[in-house]
Amino acid sequence: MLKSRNSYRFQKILGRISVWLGLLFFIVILLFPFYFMFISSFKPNDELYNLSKNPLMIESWTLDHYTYLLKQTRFIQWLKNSTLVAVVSTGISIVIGTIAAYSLARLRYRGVQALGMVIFISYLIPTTLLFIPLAYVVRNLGLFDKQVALMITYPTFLIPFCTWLLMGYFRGIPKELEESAMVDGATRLQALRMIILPIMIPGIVSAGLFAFTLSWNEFVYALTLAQTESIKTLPVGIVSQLVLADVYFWGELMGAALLGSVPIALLYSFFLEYYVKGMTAGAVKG
Amino acid sequence: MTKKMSRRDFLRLGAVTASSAFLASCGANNSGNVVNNAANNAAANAVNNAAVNAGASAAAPLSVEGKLTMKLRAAFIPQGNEVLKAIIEDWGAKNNVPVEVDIVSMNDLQTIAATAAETGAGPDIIEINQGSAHLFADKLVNVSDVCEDLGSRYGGWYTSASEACVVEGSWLSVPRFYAPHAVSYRTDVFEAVGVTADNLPQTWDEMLEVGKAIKDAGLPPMAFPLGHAVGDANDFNYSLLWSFGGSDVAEDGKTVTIDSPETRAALEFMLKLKSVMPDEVLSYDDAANNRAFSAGSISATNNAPTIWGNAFLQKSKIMQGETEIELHTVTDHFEYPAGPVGRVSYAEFMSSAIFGHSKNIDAAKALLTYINEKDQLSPWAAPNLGFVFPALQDYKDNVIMPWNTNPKLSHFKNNVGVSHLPGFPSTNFRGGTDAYAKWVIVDMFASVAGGLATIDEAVATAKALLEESYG
Repeated sequence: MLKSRNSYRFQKILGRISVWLGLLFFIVILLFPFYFMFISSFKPNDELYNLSKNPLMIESWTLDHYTYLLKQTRFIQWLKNSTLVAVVSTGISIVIGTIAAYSLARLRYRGVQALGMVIFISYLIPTTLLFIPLAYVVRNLGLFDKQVALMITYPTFLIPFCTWLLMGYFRGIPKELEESAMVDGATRLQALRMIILPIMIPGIVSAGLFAFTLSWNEFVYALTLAQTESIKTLPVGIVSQLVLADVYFWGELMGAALLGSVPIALLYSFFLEYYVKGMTAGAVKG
Repeated sequence: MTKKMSRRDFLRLGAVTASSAFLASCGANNSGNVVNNAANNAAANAVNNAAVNAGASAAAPLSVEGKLTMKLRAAFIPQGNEVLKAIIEDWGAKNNVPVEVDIVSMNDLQTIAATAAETGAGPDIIEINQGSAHLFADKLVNVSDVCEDLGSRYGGWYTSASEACVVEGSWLSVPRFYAPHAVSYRTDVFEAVGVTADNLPQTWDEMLEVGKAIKDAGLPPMAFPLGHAVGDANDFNYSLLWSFGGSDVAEDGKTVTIDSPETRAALEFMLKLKSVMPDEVLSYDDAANNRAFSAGSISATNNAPTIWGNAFLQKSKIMQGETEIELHTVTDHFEYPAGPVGRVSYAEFMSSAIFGHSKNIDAAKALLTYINEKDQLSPWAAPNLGFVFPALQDYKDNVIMPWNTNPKLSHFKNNVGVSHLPGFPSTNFRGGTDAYAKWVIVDMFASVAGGLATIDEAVATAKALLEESYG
């Protein structure tokens, strides 16, 4: 009896240790890039380029790379541009994606399956195939080389993404909830707005976070459709100013990458609870 | 970088530029310093002259719709890019032309140029590489007047510049600069196997012998790029093919000639050379050989002067035994070795094109003329430590050019004169540029070196692809 209890306790401890070791492994894997960016961005060049030094440690600290980044480049401007473009395109995509997902998940009409499939396939087409046709459209609209060009082109890949993410979530919410509301006299839109959307918030937040991240990191459309220096987004600005010929300005690049990831990290940490709820709900009930 | 410059700022920047040139020249010997000091004074004067003369170049007032916009290729030294920006902005101020100049990396330029060509939207002036003028021919403005004027005043254009920019008898792009190539090598490693500045390899066979000696001594090997390195791999592989007498097309521009004894000799040589190089060369991009050299893991590679230049500017260090030394002190260059038919090099080349959608063609032409004139081009080229080699022949012997002031950069001086564009020896540079864009030659050498194909297979694959390009 005692032996079996000890064995049970041992197994429990072993289980916990393996869980923590597993977690530790993933934490190290996930945080290592940030750690490396952090130390590289504070190393003086003579240490950064000296391969006999330990690349994972830092001997002397410098703010030179950040000074260059903030004073000699338009980093702050790029950050503002990225934020504006990402917020607007995410907002547009969430609104349209929610309505589209509701339609595809709830309504029954001819071609609904095919429509869902077409939206999904449109998400699979890579931006490198689409940027020239889209540039042509944008030029004809008179929006070439304007920030609004990005705000209207990003939703072309964000809306399909949001729609598919939210469709799973809609399907996880019992129809009876809105049917009850409609029995009580609500219109379909009222039922959607007052009953379904409040339940949907975790899903919408998840979709919004993903959409924001996709917008934030987008490169090809930003490079081709918004070329003026003052409207460049962060990824394009960094590459165009900190990679010169075959020489990479590693300290500044690492600093820019680190600072550029801060807004995303803040967003995720702020909405973490919703995000987890949204992901799990969509995953198990879809 | 972002602040608008007044004339005073511009002049100040000129002084800074001259200082950077001076610092660069510190790597040279004493006799070089005498020349360097003269060069620095000349650079400072030239910058000042550029500022003073900016307005004088415009014979008639220039009018533009909106702004005159341009995308230019970045050199690896930020100060050099700033000088160029200041020159252009000063011209704009003096001519009352709003200008917007953006200096970006080369890979971005190709995407921007392709978008402009397809959609008819984008900057007025875009710098394009290699023979892109042949690909975008029907989208570009004829700039023969600009090129003929500049050519007549500055000693004419290099052959490879006209190969790149003349399409059916018309100049469609204004040649701008080369990133000249040579072999960058570690003097200490070469000395360890008995190779000094006096007996550097003059032929590829001698190069192979040095490579074997280095390998046998267990020292960092030589490594020439065989991956998709836009500048370095094309440079190395085309140069090797041509210097062995091989070519991908005949002079008629249609007959594919890759299946020749000369090509096979070059491929056989590549197999031997690969035996003294690390496997990583197969995946090298343009930055990879710089990184490997800077890390001390290779002792020679082909490159523009950026390896030495960056090592000098960053004061990067490596270990030499137990001693820590600055890399630039043991880095030098020598010209590409000769093959059986001598030295024939690939040209890493940029030109400035005006796209047909531009509504500011006259202003764009005036600006392109202005920035290629001596008073502007010299102070821009000088601080770029040899990375910018003007396409006009008079600049080769210009006293302030880095290859005339710094012995370590002198080995780049003759590279451009023996260079050609893909498509050589024909005039079908459109086909050549197509083959270049598809990596046909680089992949042919890489597939043999990497053991993915026999020489026969590699030649057959290349031949089929080249027939599409030149067909």
